[in-house]
Amino acid sequence: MTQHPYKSLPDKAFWRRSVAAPRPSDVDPVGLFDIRIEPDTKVATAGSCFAQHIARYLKSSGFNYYVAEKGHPILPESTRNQNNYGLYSARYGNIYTARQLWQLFQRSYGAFAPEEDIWQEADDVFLDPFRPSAQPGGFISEAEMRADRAQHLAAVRHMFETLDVFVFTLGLTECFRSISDGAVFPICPGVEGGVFDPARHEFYNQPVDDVLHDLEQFIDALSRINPAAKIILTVSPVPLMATAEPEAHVLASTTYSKSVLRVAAEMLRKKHNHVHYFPSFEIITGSFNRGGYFADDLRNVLESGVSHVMGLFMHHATASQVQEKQKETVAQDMDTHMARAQHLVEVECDEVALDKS
Amino acid sequence: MGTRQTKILFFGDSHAHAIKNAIERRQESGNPVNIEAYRLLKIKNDQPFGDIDLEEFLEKTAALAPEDIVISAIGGNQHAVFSTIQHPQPFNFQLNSNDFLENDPETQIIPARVLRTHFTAGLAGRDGKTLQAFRASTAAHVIHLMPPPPKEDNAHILRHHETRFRQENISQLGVSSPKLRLKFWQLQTSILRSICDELDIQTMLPPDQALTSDGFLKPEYYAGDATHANTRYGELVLQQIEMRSKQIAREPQRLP
Repeated sequence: MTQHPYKSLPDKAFWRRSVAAPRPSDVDPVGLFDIRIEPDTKVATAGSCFAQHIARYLKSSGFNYYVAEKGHPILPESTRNQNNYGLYSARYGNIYTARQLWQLFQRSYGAFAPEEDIWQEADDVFLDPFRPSAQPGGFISEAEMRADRAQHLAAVRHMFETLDVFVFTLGLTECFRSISDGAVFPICPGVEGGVFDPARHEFYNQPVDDVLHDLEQFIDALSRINPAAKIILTVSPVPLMATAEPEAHVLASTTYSKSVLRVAAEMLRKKHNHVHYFPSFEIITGSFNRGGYFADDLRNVLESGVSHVMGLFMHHATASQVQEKQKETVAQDMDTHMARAQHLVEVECDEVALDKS
Repeated sequence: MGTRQTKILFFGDSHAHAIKNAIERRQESGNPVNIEAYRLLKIKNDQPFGDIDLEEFLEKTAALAPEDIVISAIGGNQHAVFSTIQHPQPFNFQLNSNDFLENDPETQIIPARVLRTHFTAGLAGRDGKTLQAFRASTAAHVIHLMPPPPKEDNAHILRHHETRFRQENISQLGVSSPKLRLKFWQLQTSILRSICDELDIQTMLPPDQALTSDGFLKPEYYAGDATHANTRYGELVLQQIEMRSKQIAREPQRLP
């Protein structure tokens, strides 16, 4: 019988055996993922709204979910949660694009100071354009906003310098930026704050080269300040709320955006030993689940989908003791996940504001 | 037919003590005051402490006429619990946009709206519910008396403080800055005013004569602990209540 390379491949290399045949809840598309998270590994998170699920699971799983900006301990946890402390490892809100992440890093080290750096909404309402939803109701003055931002950026620096693992969920390629200095905003000016001005703001849809360039710079800079840091990249499965690409359909724009991000993640994983890829995108969007992980709006991810993602994440990344515990939980979730009520998990997603009709 | 005398009922927690003492002193001096004051009944160290519970007081307020007055001094020390002891991780906040925010890298800034969320939840949950019960129980005027402001003298607080502060190790941790304590009192007062406005309850600030130019309690009105005012202060409050009562009597009668 003829020998060929496919003969010796494991089941996961074959569509029928690993995607079509198993029960949906048993599909495990994780490829090479040789990173181990121990209970004392400091895991920091950032990214688009889907990253909040990762943060939430890590927090509740007994791992060292690393929060560098906790809010003052005199405040009870409920108040801190209400004010977005602990939503991510620092109070930066959603980071949708690779450019936003790279600029956050630069801003935290004083290497970039955007010109448009404050939005005044009322006499006593001031927003940070780079995290407009971070402080509910806004800051009461420019001085307060600047003081809070200074301590926020100090916390971001501290986080980058002391984390062990950085999980970054790539969300979008589309964004709006300042024409004068290229500062990208998490949400288009005028939507959640600020005023859109075509003379000052322009649409920017990142091509794959730019995403790669931004992430390469970030990876290099992080390695310099924290040589032991490892990075896990994921791609958010959440489709675009709206596209600003001229003449484009949002579905085609979503495919473009996610494809670019997925390609960039794969290229970086292959290039850097300390960069890993986790297939959240594939678990949620894979045809094996027949769209069953999306809510009725075909955009928000159901808890059953998040359970599948995080169950596999824990299974592959964590030490055996915790892993077994997680497996039990996940197994339970998987047994019932398709039949379970369409439970929608609340996440803070600024993008929703793009389509309020 | 004689004019009916306005009935004034006073009800509070620990700050009621100064008022009750002042009423007693008036009576002893032959100049009685037309105010019935009650301290909320609590159990401390297995011993009852105070006069009547809230339900009993509400029965009294229910019997009042629209021209009568209920003065509330419930709660009051939340600001002091939060801000008296120096926290190991120093913090500050900006009370309003005119409040200068010092640039001290060792001091964490807590955004004002974060603190307001926290204080509003606490005050609305406890004092707010009691104030709501007052309002719902009676056709009379309801006035909430704001607590006395903080004492500026940290040495006094270190020498004289409540058991709670001793248990929380104030002697080792020290006392926070007077300015921070005053800001917390102002924050609490502003939140209470909003709660009262919503409930159609009037408010009464501490008497001006008892305050320093910066707004602290003058030392001559200190009681022998970290947060309370003395009988002389209680007397000033009585005068304030009497004056407000006369003002109310001149106003057109409120509809029940």
